[in-house]
Amino acid sequence: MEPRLARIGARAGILLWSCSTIHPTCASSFANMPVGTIIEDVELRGPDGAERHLLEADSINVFMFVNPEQEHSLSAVRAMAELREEFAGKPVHWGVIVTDRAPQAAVESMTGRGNASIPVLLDKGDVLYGRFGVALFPVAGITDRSSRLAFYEPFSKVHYPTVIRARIRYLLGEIDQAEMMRAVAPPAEAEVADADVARRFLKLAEMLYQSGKYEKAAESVRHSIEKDETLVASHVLLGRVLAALGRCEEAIEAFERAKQLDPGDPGATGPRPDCTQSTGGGRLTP
Amino acid sequence: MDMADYRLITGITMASVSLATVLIAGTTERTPAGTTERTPASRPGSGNLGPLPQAEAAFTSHAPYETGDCGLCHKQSDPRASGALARPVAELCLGCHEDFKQVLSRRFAHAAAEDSCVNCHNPHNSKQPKLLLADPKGLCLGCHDSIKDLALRSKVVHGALSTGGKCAGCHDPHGSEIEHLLLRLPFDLCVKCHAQDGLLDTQGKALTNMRKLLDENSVWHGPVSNKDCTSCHDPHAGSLFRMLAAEYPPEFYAPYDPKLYALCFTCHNEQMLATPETTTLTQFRDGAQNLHYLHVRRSERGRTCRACHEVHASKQPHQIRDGVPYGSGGWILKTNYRETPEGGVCEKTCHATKTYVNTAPSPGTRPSTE
Repeated sequence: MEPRLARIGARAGILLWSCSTIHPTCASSFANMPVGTIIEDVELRGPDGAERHLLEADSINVFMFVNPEQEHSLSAVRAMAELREEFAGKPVHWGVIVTDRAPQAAVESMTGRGNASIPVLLDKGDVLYGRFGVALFPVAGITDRSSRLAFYEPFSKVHYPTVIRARIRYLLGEIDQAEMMRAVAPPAEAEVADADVARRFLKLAEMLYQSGKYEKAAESVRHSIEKDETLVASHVLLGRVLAALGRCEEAIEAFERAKQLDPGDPGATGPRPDCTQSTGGGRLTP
Repeated sequence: MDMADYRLITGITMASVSLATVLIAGTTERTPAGTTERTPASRPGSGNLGPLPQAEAAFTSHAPYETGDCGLCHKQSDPRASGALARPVAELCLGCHEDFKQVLSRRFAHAAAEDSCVNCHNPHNSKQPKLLLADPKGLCLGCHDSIKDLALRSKVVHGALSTGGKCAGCHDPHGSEIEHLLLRLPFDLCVKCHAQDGLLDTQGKALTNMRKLLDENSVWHGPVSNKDCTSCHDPHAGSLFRMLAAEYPPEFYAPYDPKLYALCFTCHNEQMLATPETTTLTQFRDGAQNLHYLHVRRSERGRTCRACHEVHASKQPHQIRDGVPYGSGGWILKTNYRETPEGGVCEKTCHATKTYVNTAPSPGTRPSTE
């Protein structure tokens, strides 16, 4: 297929899924092969002389243009080989495309013993390279089961295997678009939230309560409530601790607050401990 | 019992825990075919998990220790003889620090953290934040020798290594969904600092406000679009200009030497500059005449990449520059590049107007229009 014809083959309305996920105006595809193009299969010879297909029918096809003399390419090929193993048994077809001008030793070294195991296709005269309009190495194209170019993925030193994996899993139907997007552009790791710190103080308070150190337990659970006033379990525990300390009225307040926060919480609405206190006493009946 | 006795006893107990700890530093990816990178090394503060001597002021103190509740972690409550730990370290720590179960289950986990919390934290108190055993940078470099060596032998060490959260400013020391335990993708981390005016390099020269540059220029270089600053820059240290990972031509003109373009050739195809005629290797050709070759491949005044392209972003396709410096007076000569359906044109610029057509199958240089 001629490059211009390939453009004609592109279907209108196909989203530029790949690149637009990062930046709306980034270089979004092979120069001559927009995302959405139906890719035509070709047969190319491998270094061993065997003919190999670029695409396999009814499969997700992952093909990557590489330069076996560049470190980024070698790194990407290793990652591809690992992903190939990971997706073994699934309808995913793999190939790396190398110019036939590449030194034989470099090609052999890339996929030789102890290195990446992945099918290599030699691009005679860089015909495929030119047809796609490749501008850099390594770069991967990923098609859906209809041989439509679904994603264009230029190399990145960080996160590349994760992105390729997510794209494949999406096309296989293993994950939805939202999950794919979370993998491709992960949200920033959250700082330790006050809610997490609140749970830590709650845990400490529980241990102190169980070991009969009620005053300390009260102090710890109050720290917990300071950090997250909505943590029902902290109010329930505070109620128990205060009951154990004989501060019955305060204990009732704590249980009532827990019930107010979550009327369905069994700790807040269930049986309350007995409370015998200096200022009154009695059962802390809900 | 006074606190000094308590600290001494606890220190001895915890030191034995530490000595029994296997220290493994590195990152582990949790995938069936994932690689496991581990770098054995010694850890600063190894064997020193006891409380600080009484005379030394703590910066942080662990709540159970502060309250004197030894029995929460040890078999005995008596500070004089708290004995061994009641349960394994991780079980004890994660019993309260529940949120770290999720953190440690991320795709990439720090092997040191997976192994034992006390590889990096003192469970009693510390002069450092977060109960760390040593200064955060020193603690990390105690295992990560390659970064330490790089920093020692490089002309420039990234300021991020010694300011703010130091290593933790970019890495999560426990676990992350991103390789190298990064908190975010590289670009998002870089612009936390490199998105302001007035930031200076070690020579006092102003550094680019990347956010502003990218907001004003919509055509981004591939690695920028991919949020991958580390494809070109070493984020820790380096001896090349701007901590570049490999050589990049520093001048506008240079005789062609592939070594000068080592950085570009980590991704771009050297054949693009080495082949005088092609219909496949570049779109910047007139018929088959390779115009990259024509501009760059000269023995004297070869134009380097920077003569025509911006490195991060520009307003024109292919990151073509708006203009080029001309003479010593600071005048900028407009490039006046325009993309056309068949190729492109450069008008009234370094040379008279020239058009190229990359759809033509054979050489056919178009004449100048003036």
